[in-house]
Amino acid sequence: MIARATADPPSRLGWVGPARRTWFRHPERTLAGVALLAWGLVLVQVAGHRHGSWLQAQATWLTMVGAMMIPPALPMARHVALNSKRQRRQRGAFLFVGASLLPWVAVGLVLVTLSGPAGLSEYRQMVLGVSLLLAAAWELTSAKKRALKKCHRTIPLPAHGRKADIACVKLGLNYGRACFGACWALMLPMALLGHLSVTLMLVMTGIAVAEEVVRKGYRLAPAAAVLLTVAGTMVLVLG
Amino acid sequence: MNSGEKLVAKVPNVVLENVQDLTITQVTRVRRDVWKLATAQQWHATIAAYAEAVRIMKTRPASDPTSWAYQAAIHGNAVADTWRNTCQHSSWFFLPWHRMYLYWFEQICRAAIQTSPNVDASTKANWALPYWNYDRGTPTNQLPKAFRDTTTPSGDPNPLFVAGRNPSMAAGGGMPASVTSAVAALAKHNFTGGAGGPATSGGFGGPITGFNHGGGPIGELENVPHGAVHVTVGGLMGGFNTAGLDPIFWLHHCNIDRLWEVWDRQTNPARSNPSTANWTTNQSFHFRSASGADVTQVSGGVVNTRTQLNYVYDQFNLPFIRPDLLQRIQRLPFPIPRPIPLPAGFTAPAEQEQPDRPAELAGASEDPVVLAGDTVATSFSTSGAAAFTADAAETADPERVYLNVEEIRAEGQPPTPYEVFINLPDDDETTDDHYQVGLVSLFGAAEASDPESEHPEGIKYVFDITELYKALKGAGLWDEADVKVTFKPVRVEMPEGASAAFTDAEPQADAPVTIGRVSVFYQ
Repeated sequence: MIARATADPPSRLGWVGPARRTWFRHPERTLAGVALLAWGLVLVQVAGHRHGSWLQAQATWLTMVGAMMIPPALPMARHVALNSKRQRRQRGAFLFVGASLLPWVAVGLVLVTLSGPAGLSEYRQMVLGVSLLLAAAWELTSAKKRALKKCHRTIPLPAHGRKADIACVKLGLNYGRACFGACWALMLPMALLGHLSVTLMLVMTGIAVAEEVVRKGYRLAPAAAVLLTVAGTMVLVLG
Repeated sequence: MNSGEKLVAKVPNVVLENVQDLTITQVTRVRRDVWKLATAQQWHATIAAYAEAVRIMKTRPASDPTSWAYQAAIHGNAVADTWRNTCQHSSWFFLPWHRMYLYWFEQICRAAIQTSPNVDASTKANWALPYWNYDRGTPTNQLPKAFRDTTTPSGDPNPLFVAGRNPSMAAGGGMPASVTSAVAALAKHNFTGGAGGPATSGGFGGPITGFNHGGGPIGELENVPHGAVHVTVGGLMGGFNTAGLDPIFWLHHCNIDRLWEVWDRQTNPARSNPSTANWTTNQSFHFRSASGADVTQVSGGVVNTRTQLNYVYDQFNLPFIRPDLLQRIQRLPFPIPRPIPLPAGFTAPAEQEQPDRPAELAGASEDPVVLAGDTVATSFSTSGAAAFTADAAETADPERVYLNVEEIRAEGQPPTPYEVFINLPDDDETTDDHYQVGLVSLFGAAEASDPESEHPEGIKYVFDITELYKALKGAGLWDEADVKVTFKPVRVEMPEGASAAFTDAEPQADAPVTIGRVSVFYQ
């Protein structure tokens, strides 16, 4: 028998109550809002110019990283928030997510910088198709499976002060490394080519979320591999 | 369904103790207390037949699904497949999975016994696995001698003996009540835990999960006595992958299976197993029959041992309580926070439902706690912590208070369980029970520490300390600036006259255990 929920006492907070209650029960929703904002910016960027300065390319990359990599991190961000004292819930969750995105920032600095002068955009279809096939192949490796498991590894979080901050950052870096190991191939097309179709980005995000959020997400890898193979083949064959 | 039915004859003159509403059918087997059998005769025919079954199974190659090695590998194995390495822990499937596991193992033993010229016809007709009820005081808290002797009465190697157990247990030591008592587990009203976020406990039978080999919070029965007995017996029993290789493992789990029955039979209030399809039918498990064939079962198919599996236990008494412990309880300066385990007329105190909102971190240890064989304590502050209502408004007093022992990792097999105390004022052994929160068995800590495991976050224990918190606060013994949590290693009780060498042979900490964080949550 599952424990029944007790009836909530009458709210003493008036109209603030529901929002405060949601904030209390789901502290990770702030970060979900950040991810939604990033998706909004992606839509704006897709509708705008495709070619810009180095800074614009970096901003585009970081926006895509925020849109695609924050959603898989939300369960762990919730873990960090609920294992922090109330006044530091958001601080801990943001420190964690911020640190977890650092590997992607580093990748952006290198790949986005190099891909422009390399003129990869001239071979857009081929680069995209090969990247998708590479991502499909990566799905089936044991290294991907190991990385997904590491995404669930936690560390103790002290309650107070600098030690708590450091622990949140450390957990973020650990998670970020594992997440990068699991998702680098999914993000490679965006790193090399900039914006792609929103549909394709949503599919990539869906795969990342499903594999990282579900406890045994690696079991979804074969299905993801098939999906990516079909997509890559279509891009190469149909253009 | 029952491939062993054709081997079963009518059970003659079965005498049951304390069994109500029980009708013995032609195929119903009776699992009996091994210590009652051993008291009547050390090598009782049922025990001797079990030894014979183990001997026969050990002669089979490990690739044979009915071999001793293969059956142990079903519980834990380096390589997983459909059948092997599938044991369920830290899960609401813990109890049903092990019931299925025992059922098919018993069928294999029974088939092996039928082929042996060393077992008499009556035993062949009636044999069922015995169980080890270690909670009836001395000597039942000791390993039965038939499992400690290196040879059988005929001088042959004893199939029930394995080397490497805790030296004190191997020498005839007994497990303390903190290890063997199921009182705290039986007092749980709910099979699964609540919705407390980081402070969600495992209830009686384990938290709601999918297929789960280990890691995460665990149910009360899985912790004590289940895990505590595993770790205290030690040796092969101490690890997932080797536990099934110790013949006492199967008798231990029969007792856990029996305690599930005891819990289910309580009426004040009535207990109930999960009824959701996610538990009853949606998750199936694979085993091997007596012929080695693949068989599949679901939890809903094993909730009634008599009608669905054709076996019963010979008694369903509530746990035994030692007189000295009862006397100590009666001297308490304030009501004991745990259920008072009276020997008769026992009813569990009301267990409050866990509120449906995340618990709030009140305080936590700054640094990891290393358990290395000695008593160790950690302190932290909960000053300034507030409880919150369902609307996230601050309130004066928490509705519930939890002590979490979490992020537990071990490089090897933990040498002993640890008793957990809060705000222990001194080292006076006679006052310990006042402040005891429970026990961390540590079974599965090594497996959950493997980065390759499904739950590499380690294992976790959640203790509801609400009543103890209120009692300590009322007595002026709860200092928010200094909440102290003490871990004491469990010591095996040696029999009278045991030599000093035995006492010196207590398990040593060759595999330190690290507790990542000790924390208090308000809700």
